[in-house]
Amino acid sequence: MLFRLEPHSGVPLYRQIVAEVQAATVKGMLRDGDRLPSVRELARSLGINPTTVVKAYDELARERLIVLRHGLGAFVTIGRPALSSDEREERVERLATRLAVEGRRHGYSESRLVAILRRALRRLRPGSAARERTPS
Amino acid sequence: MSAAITTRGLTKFYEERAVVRELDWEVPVGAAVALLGPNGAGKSTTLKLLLGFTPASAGDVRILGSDPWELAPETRARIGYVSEKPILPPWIRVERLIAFHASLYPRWDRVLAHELAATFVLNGSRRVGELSKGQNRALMLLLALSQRPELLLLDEPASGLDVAARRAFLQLLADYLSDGERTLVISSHLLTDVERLVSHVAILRAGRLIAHAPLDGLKESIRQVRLPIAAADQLRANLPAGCVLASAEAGRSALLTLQLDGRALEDLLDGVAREQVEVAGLPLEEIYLALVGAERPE
Repeated sequence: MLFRLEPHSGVPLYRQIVAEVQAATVKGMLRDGDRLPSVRELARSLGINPTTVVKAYDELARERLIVLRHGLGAFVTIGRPALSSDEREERVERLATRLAVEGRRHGYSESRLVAILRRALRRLRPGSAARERTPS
Repeated sequence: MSAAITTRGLTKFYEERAVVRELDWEVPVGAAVALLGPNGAGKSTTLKLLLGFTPASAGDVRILGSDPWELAPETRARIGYVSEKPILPPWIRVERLIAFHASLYPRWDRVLAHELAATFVLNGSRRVGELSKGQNRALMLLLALSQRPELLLLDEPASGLDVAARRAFLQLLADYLSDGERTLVISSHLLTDVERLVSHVAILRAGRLIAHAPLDGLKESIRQVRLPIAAADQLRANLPAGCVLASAEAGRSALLTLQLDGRALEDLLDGVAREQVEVAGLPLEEIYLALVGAERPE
């Protein structure tokens, strides 16, 4: 599992780690039961503060994307109910608003925006050409 | 959470000039703090005051629960320090110096010292005076880390290190912080390095502490908003006092650097046509410049 972080950015590092894990599960690079690196391993390999990793893992555990097993590490748990349906809807709604705003700003038509969303959905399909390499 | 360092009203005059002024500061155990500020803001003096290397003109310091002037040798051994200036005797050979430090510190880690000498390519038979500036820094880091401190105070530790040594240094600090309840205070001008590592940021300006906050909190609360000038005026009218850190205008748009809770900003922007507004978070360097440059009542 590769984490690509941009420390020199406005987004806190722990949020970047959360986003990387979320993206990897959606793309199938992380599967149910996979073990994430230990806090120490990840902090060392990225040269970052271990509390940042702890904060990210706690957040992922809260979202039920991983479970923390004491002494064993963090494991991916895909396919369990994560957030409440209201929370999920709010999240997607918020992103949809951003997509709409960004699209309008660039003068995109409604049909063009819908086409972009369709394309993004297609890219997530297992086996699609745009899918990223599976981790070794 | 208990405090590794507490200062109350800490003040230092050099002759007539106040270098550190009424510093009230608390560093919790387990925190990794970047101590930032322009040259001459009092960073090095603050670190020396914490260690009792120079007497305070007024105020109190507690470091690992003690007055720095009454530090028991056992407590002193739990504190590692790398000074800004090279202070190692130039005539001594590297291996002799390492052996000497090993005899001084009860928790000395021989294996770590050996690894670090290899990492930084330090030749034991060289004399300290023959080392490059970067190697001298690396040797001081080796000495401070191998004593296995609980509190590490580093004053511009990475200056002079080459790119590879700096990356190794960041990994060492990540290791150090992984080892239980370790506290770090690091003063550095290399903001992109400390940005990876620190949990908190403290900023000194002209001897005063103008900010001390978790880095994630700063990244989430300080934002740059670009919007049309008319909308900016409308937004300004609704902003709480003191939250505009900087503002600039270019053409028909205004650029405001704001410090306020993320949701509060969303609410305030509700009345503004969203397609005209861009909101962006800032890297530490920009946050630092905004805070140091902000004209705010002290």
